[in-house]
Amino acid sequence: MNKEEENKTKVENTNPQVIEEETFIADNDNAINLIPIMSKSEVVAEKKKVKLNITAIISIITFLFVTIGIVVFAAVGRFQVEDAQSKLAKQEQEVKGLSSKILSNNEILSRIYLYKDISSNQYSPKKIFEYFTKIASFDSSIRLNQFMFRSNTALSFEGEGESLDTVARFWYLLSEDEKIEKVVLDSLSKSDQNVRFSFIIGMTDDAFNTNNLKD
Amino acid sequence: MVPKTTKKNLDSISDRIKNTKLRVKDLVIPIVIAIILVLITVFLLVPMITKAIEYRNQLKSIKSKQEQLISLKTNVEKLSEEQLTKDLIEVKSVIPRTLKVSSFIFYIDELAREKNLTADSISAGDVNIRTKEEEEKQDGKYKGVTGPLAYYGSLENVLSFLDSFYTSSPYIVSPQNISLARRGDKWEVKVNLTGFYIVEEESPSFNIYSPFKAYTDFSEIMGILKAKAKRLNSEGH
Repeated sequence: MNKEEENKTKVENTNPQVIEEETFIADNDNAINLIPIMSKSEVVAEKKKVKLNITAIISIITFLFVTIGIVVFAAVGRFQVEDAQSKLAKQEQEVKGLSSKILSNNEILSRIYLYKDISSNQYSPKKIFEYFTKIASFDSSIRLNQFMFRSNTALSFEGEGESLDTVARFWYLLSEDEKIEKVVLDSLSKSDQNVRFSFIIGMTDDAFNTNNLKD
Repeated sequence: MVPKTTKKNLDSISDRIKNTKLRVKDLVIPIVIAIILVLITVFLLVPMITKAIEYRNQLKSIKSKQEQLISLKTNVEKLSEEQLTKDLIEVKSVIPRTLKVSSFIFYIDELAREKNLTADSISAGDVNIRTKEEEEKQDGKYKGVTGPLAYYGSLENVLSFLDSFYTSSPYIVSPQNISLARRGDKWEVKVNLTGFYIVEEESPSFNIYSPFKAYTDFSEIMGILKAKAKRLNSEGH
C-alpha cells in the first residue's frame, strides 16, 4: 500500500470534519486541481478578514462624523461668541450713556458708607460713665475723678477710695461684671488720707455701641 | 513515490497556509492609518475640542456680563434723575468735598454754648483719616477736620455735650480720645473731634461690571443725612 492509500484509510477512520478538511488532498481521480477548494478554517479566516475590513470602514466613517461634529461644534461656538461679543459691546455703550447717573449714585453711596463706618464705632460716653459710676456706688467713699475713653471697648479711669479693702472690693466687682472683659489695675498708691487707684478696662465687643443702647 | 499532481496540491496547500500567516507587510497599512488617526486626534481634534470648550466658557461669561448689564441698566433707569440730583446736593452738604473749618468749629462752639460750657481751648487742622477698609490702600479717601477741644462745666452738661455730637451735629463727626476730669465741682472735657468730608476725584470713573447698589436701598441712612442737610440749610451754614 502506498502512502496515498494509507492516508485515505486514516481519513476514513477519523471524524467527518477532518475528512472534509482533507478531501482536497485526497483527490480520488488523480486530476489536477488548479483552484483548490478552501478549507473551513480558511473560509472562517476569510470571513474574519471581511468583518475586519467592514469594522475598519465603519470606524473610519464614525471617526469622520465625529471629526465633522467637532469642527461644526467649534465653528458654531465661535460664531456664537462673536455674535454675543458684538451685542455686549452695544450694551456697554448703552450703559455708558447712563454714566452720569451711576457716578452720582456712587457719590451718594460713598457718603452713605462713610456714615455707616463712622456710626458703627459710635458709643455713648455718658452711658459708660454712668455705668461705672453705678458700679462704684456700692461704697460712698469711692470717688471717680478722671475718665479716658479710647474706643467703644477700651477706657481707663482714676479714682480714690478710703481703704485698700474698698478698692479691692471695687476691683472684684469690676472683674465680675458681665460687660467687662478685662480689668487691669494700672496703679495703686496709699496715703494717710486715702488710696488712689487707676484701672484700665477692656469691655466686651459692642457692649456700649450706640445701636445696642437704642435697643 | 509521490505522484506529481499530489505534490502540486501539497505545495499549493503549503503556499496557502503560508499566505494565511501574519506578515510584517500586512501590518504596515493598519499601523500607518492608526498613526494618522492618532495624529489627527492629537493635533486637530483635541485642540478643536479645547477651543470649543473655551468658546462655551467665553459664551457663558459674556452671557453673565450681558445679564449684569441688563440688571445694571434696569436699576439705573429706576432712579429718578431729578430726585438723584436733589439727593446728591443734600448729601454733599452734610459730607462736603471740603469741610470749612470755621463752620465746623463754629457749630461745635455753638453746641457747647447751648450746654452752658466754657471753652478752654479750640484749635483745628486738616488731617487725613483712614477707615478700616482703607487702611490697606495708600491714600485715604475720607478726610477730616480735627482738633483738640476743651470745655468745662457741670457733669450733666458735659455728658450731654458729648452725646450731642452724634445727634445734633449736622456734619458727620466722630470724637476721639475723650477725657473727663474733675476740677473741683465741675468737670473738664477734652476731646479730639473730627468732622469728615470726601475728597472727590478730578475725573471719576467707574467699572460697569462692579456690583451695582442703588443708594435708595439705604433709605434709613438717607433719611438721617437728609435731616442733617435740612438742618444745615435752615441754619444757613
